[in-house]
Amino acid sequence: MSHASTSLLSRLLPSLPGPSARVYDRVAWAWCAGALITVLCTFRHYGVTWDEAWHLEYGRRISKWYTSGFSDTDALTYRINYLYGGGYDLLGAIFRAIALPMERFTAIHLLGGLVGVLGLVGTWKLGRALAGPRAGLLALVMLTLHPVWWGHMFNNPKDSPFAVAYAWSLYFMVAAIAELPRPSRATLAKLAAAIGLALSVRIAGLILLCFLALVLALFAAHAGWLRRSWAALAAHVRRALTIGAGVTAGAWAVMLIGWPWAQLDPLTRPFVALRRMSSFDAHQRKMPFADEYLWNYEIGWEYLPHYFGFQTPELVLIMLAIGTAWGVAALLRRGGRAELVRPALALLLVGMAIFVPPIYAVYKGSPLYDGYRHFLFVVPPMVALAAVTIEALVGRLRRRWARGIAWAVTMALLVDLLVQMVHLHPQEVVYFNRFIGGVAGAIGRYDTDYYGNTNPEAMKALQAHLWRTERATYLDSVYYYTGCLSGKAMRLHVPGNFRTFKQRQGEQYSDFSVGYLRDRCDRRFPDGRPIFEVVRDGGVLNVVKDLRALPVPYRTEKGARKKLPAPRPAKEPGVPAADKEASG
Amino acid sequence: MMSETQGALSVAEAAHRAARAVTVDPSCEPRSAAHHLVGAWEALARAVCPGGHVPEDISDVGGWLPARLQATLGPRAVTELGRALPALVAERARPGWESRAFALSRGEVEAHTWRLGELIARARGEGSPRPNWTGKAALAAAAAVVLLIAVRPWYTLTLQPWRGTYYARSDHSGKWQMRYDREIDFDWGRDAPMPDWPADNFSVRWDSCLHLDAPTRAVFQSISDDGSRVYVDGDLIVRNRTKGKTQSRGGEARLAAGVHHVRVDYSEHSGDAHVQVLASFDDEPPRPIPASMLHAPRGPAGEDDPCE
Repeated sequence: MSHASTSLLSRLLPSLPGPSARVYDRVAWAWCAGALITVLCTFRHYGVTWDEAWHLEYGRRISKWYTSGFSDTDALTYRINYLYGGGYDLLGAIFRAIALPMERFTAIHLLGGLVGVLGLVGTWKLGRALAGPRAGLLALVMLTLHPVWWGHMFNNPKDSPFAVAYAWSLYFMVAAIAELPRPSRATLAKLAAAIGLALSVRIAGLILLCFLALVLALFAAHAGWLRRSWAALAAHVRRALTIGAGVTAGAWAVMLIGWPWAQLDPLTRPFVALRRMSSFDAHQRKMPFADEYLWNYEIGWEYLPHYFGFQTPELVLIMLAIGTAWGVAALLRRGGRAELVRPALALLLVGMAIFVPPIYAVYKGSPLYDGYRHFLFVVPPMVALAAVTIEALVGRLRRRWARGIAWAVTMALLVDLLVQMVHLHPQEVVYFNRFIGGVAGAIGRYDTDYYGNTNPEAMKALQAHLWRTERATYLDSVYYYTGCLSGKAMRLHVPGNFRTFKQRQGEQYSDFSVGYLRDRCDRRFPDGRPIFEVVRDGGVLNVVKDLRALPVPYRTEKGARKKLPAPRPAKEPGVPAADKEASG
Repeated sequence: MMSETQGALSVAEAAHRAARAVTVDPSCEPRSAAHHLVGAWEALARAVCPGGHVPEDISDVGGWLPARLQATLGPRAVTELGRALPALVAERARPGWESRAFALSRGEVEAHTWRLGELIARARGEGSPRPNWTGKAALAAAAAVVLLIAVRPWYTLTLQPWRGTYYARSDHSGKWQMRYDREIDFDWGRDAPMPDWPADNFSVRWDSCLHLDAPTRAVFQSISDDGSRVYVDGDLIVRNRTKGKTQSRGGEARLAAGVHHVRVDYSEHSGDAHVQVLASFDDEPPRPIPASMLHAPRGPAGEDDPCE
């Protein structure tokens, strides 16, 4: 990375003269190293989510597709996964083979953490390319301290890697814009690879190609308009078409590597998948939303604004709002100037990358659930724009002391976020900001632990409780539990004498219930004795209940929501009701 | 105060920027960059030639460009630059009214512009060439990583701490095969424990040597389907008799500091097969015994005390 490179937006938005780019870059590298070390120290803390087992299996099947010489076709029909590119799943299968004898879920969590750090680097580069080294460093720090992003890095096998590829695609697109009208082949090759990797996780990455097409079209139109010449316009359009076709072809090739189903009809099937995914309705479920408990198809446009509003750190949210307004004003006032066309396009790209996907989802009426995890990919550009805004705002301050105060406030808010993340660990995904009162304010009103990340903590606490209170029984007992989540995923965190109720011979009932918040699992077995709660920021995220004192019908899955009949009040002989009232 | 050399280099950079703006613009004829390119060459020559004298034949790049700069670019690049330059000089000298074909394609002009930019940056002292050894070192490192991943020296089965002797009968007799396992935690279900092995009616004997730094009250737990036993130094600590269902049994042993032989016998008759052995040495719930506390016996199977 050149230290002398100037930022793309420096002439469009106000910015500070950087005293020393090298210092900021060195701090950024040190920060990345710190993030990497944190990943290596903590990746074992995260739970197995209900999505992971399917992706591990899909990755295994894709690797078999190759190792069997394309004769093992299990990957072509596997659940609904065949509609997704399996680029990350294939990488996971290779990584697991390398990481042996590490347990497979543990290995994939390590890979997730490493890929997440790559996303941090991509966002740093994006911020740096937009507004210089200090904005890049700010973007890096703000994304690292974004609890939802950090929490998803480890055990989200789809949305997190897609977001990483999306961030890198945006960075390379900004780099290509800076080089227009003739981006170097190296930049275009990297852009194609990044978009291809995004496509190989989710076909929704096609939106990146749409952004590229729009940017190239606008540049060509602007160049033609400047020269007032049809010939010039035609020459620029030809160039734009060449660039667009080359990047698309490269991205398509990269996408196909991890997607066996699409390999068999590469020109049609990705679009079939896109059509199917656009009307994806496999997950119809009820969930808490704004104090109500609704079906996900009953919620309208307000779903994403609510979640982004309450699950984005306050600093990012406020700066994003200011930055959006500022950016729109800057584009309208100065975006059409000949010398500002590249920064204007870069700013427009970042704005589109943030706002177009959610708006499109609302327009299409896509069913939404699980907070904004499906839109995790808009977080890096959001953070980058927030960082650029901070840089620009501070640049407006004339007085040195005012700038000092601004940086101090920013640092204080970031340190506050760090403290909150430490308190939430490893449940960072349940973060809610102070506008709603933190996690405690969101419980029951919004989805929090929709991924079951709290289950390991709950299971380990159950094990420790039983070991402490009934040691002799513990050693000679097999306990059966229920928990609204794959038994295999939960078993990873406890020894073999903890088994799911499905493994009980004869009638299937449970001794313990481990209930996270999805589908109100915590409210099952209302008469069970609570023995442990996973609590974060004052909010209860998981409840472990001892069911052993209940009659068997109230310990089965059928009886999970039943309440024991209330005991009949004992009659008090000889005191008429009227007399009781009279006596007060 | 800017020196004459620095001033000339600044002029060369400005001319080069103008040339680049023309060459990358698809609506401009590449020949229109010739004027700027030759200007950049002349300014560069003023900056690097002794006394600031521009050579009469500027096309002879190899003749006037200092050896230091030629070395940083490489002989091939210098030759390429020298090959295209006469056409550019001729284009600049062409009178405006005279139509004449331009000898260079757009790609050639772009390549020439790019190389000239590199040359100016080197003359300025920027963009120092990457030493050859970094590329080679990067290649060697990549090859080493690939080799390491392929060989995986950290995952050598014989370094695993449990020596498992797998018998093709359920009473620890008959045909056997040995392998080393990292821990005793297997859930074979209805599958066989290894290829070409029966899924039912097999048994396994695991041996390992447990290192204790201090006298310890150890608790062992065995969870299995079917039965299993845990011995320490020949003493039966856990007897887990079960057939057809998962059962957990525990036992306690007071162990002196030193090395102890731990043996686990497991038998599978029919149905699901799984076995897990755990231990607690510190009053915490039983966990898999850390590999750092164990080492595998190296001798043949069946000896009395393989940890001696």
